[in-house]
Amino acid sequence: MTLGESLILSVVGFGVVLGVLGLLALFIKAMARALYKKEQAAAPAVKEVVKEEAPVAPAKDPNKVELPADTSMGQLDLHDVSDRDAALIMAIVANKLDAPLNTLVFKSIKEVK
Amino acid sequence: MNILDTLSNLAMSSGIVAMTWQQGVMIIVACVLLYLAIKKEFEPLLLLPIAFGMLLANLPLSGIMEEGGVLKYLYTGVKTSIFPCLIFLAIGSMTDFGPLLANPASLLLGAAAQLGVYMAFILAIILGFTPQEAASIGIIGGADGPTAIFVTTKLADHLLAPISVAAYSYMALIPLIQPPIMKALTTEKERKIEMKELRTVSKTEKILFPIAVTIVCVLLIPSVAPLLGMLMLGNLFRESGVTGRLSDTAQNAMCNIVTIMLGTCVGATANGAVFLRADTLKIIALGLTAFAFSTAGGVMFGKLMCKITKGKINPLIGAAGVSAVPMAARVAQVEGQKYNKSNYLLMFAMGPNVAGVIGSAVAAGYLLSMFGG
Repeated sequence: MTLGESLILSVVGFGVVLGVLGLLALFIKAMARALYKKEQAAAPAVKEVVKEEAPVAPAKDPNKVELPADTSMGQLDLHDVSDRDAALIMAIVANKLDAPLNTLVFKSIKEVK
Repeated sequence: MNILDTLSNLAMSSGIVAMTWQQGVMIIVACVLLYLAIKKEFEPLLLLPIAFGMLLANLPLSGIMEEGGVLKYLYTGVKTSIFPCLIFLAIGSMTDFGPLLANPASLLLGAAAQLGVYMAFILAIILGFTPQEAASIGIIGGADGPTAIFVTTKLADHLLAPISVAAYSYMALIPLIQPPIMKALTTEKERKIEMKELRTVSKTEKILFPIAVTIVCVLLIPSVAPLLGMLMLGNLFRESGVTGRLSDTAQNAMCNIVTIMLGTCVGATANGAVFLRADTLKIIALGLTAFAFSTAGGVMFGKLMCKITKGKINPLIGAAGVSAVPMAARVAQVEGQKYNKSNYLLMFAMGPNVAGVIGSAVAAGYLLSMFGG
């Protein structure tokens, strides 16, 4: 095989990998959009029920501060815990509570010995 | 018969007399690898059986890798690609494709990080390897041991030992290989970028994904079916929610059993007379080149995506596209935190990381369809 042939084969091969994975990316986007639309279509019925049962919006909790999704809040005190372990603990708590991390406040994390 | 004759006969029939210098060198290499696996914990689950297989096969007169030898029988699983495919089944059942589904653009990073496969292929051709050998060497850049073994057994099985040893050794050395390349190709500002929280992925998406990937990829490149099919079957076991027992077996008991057999057999192919050649050194050098180019490809594509999205993507996660799950994602996380303590890139890097597994399987399928005969 000549160098030229190997070059062409490599460019095509790289293109094939990019093409196939790009196609998959498009498929995932389309699937997510379709599922989102399906959820949205089912959502109004739920909203109506909620409206009937609770016409008045609940009073806003004065202690609850909502932050942008990419922001964390407050100062966290770590006692004998590494940053990595603290991040893991916070992620697990958020996952178990099914609540986004930016709506939770962690004051301190301490290792129990 | 006097006692001296008996002792003399015993000595003459022992392995010590029969040992060649190549076997001696390979025994030392095996001991070094055992040291790295046990003391330094470099991919011990794989390196230890590989090293011990190497040791067994190079002990003279053991006959363990000759006709009738136990490892020769087990080697059938490697030769027929059963073991690499079963390992892919296990990987699939251990992999959460959620981060990839939440950010589908990760797939492009996984694709870009296959650059090393093709660069090493071209360089191997320049160095005089046959196209089949060059393809097997190139796939080291996929940073995926089972894929490298799968392709090599199909295209150039006489190179199985150096290629698999190079692939697994470099995978273990990813924390040393990648950071300098990541640093050289990115600015400090790029390395500090914090990424937006990923969306929640529904169970339906997770179930549909393995089915869709199998259909799309196998229809486009049929030769990818054994690897990708098994990967996605394992993932469907995990995500379907109705095959808990199968998923558990695949990711624990089966994975461990196959790892023992695969590692030991691959190590046993490292026969001194075959392994200690100039070609082995070339393969080791090309493997490193492949890893470096794959890392660079992922990072460069990450930079491009960073530019397109106006700074929303940290290019460091591109390096995780080289597969080697989850080591490469961890490297992205560690490097990101060096420059921004509050930056947690791990989940974002897992997307390209698992995309790299699919990418290397597709690259392997392409090379097999070109040179598989």
